[in-house]
Amino acid sequence: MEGKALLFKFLGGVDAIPIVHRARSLESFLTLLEWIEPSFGGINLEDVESPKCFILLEEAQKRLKIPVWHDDQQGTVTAVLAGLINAAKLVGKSLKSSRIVLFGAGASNIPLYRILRKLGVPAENIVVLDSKGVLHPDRDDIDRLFLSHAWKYRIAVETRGGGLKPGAGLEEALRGADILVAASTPGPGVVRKEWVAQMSRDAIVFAIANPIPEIWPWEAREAGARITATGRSDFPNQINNSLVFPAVFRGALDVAAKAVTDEMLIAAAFELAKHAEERGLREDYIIPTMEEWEVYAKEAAAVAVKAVELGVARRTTTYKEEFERALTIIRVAREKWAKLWEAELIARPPEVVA
Amino acid sequence: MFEPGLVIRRATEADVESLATLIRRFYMFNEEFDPAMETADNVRRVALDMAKARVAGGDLILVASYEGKLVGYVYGSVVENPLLARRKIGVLKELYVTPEERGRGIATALIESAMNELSKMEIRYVAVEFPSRNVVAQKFYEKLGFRPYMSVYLKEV
Repeated sequence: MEGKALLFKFLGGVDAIPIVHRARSLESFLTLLEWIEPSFGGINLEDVESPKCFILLEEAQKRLKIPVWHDDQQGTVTAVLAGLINAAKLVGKSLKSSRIVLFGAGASNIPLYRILRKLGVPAENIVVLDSKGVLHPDRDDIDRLFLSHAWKYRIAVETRGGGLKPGAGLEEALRGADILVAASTPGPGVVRKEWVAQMSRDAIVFAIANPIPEIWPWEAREAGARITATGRSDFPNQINNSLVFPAVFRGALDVAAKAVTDEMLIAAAFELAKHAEERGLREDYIIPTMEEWEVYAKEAAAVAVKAVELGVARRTTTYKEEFERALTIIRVAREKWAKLWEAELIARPPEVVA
Repeated sequence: MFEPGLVIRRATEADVESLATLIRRFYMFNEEFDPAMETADNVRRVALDMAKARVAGGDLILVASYEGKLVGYVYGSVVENPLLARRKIGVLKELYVTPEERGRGIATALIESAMNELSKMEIRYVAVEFPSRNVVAQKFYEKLGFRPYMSVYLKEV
């Protein structure tokens, strides 16, 4: 939490403080959030597991009039989407007509499904799998999902298993697929090379489990994938939440937004993608890195403008105005840090290169 | 709330296999609420036998068919007690609708059709059975105007 607060400040100029608490039940957690709401411009939820995180975020967003954020859901989805937009562009495919396989039905792929649907991807083009196989209305445990996991249940019913048989696994799902987003369990070897080889031409493979991706990117490429991405900073195309949350909060706070909606996430993702595109897309560069710090101001501006457009902002602004404001705030935050490092008053964090 | 393409009718021999799947699903659904309702290992085969027997027998077994596919069923029978002024009551014991067709009023249509059939047999009261812990069923039947009638308690020996 302290580390996250630091990233909020360094990358987005956002002042964040960790709050640890003993609220265990959903209701007590929500009450806590309601009680502390007046102190904050936004709340970032941390360490809430799936599927509790879905109901908690949904309920908190309903009850609070400030943005409530769960990075494992919204942050990851935004970064993945930015990467997918550019990967698809690079290989000349459209997301809407691609066969998309989401492997792992947890905090990031459940909202990713929702966002893809909002972008107009037909449900039948999407296959979602959890540890037991494809989410399918004829699965034996479907009524267990009906009672205990409304999100998986809805996906099973809407996608109808993407035309696969109940009981089908990732191997079957990948046959002819254009895109794989694996957010499941750490690899390697969770996604097999020979399965990737069965995907369509110019396949896109995002394997974002940490610390080890479900399949090593070079293995995926040897198997015929054209574009790969992971969650790791030591490989190209890092799907990194830190590209998202500091900027989204910057933009949302600057217009005193009442919420962060999916549309605002989508705006942030397109802005991230656009920045990379302007610098020149390559197979090993589909998404900006944390070092390209101006992108945070751009994202903040896109988010703020979208909030105004949607009517969830308490203050109005323009893209240019917010971009310049965010750029100044972030620059000042970074300069303060640089001074502290230069004076050796604080240690330089090894993973952040200023 | 009846939709075009939706038919509620008595089950026939041609329905046996699909009906067996629905019966099995119903029992697996109830299993979720109470470990005492754990299904048998050979539930597939038993459900098939049960479906055959029910289609051939005299109990009430209605199916919902949507565009030619079975999407739900209701099963009930008539219970008699000559000591009561209303000696015959109808008891609906099983109701199931497939996930894809939920939320479209099919369960309601099945219950209404079953009530209709039973009312033709000089029956004044219809009871429904479901696991006490099945709050989904409880809400559903209360919405349809059913009230608590009998309680069944369970204890391990």
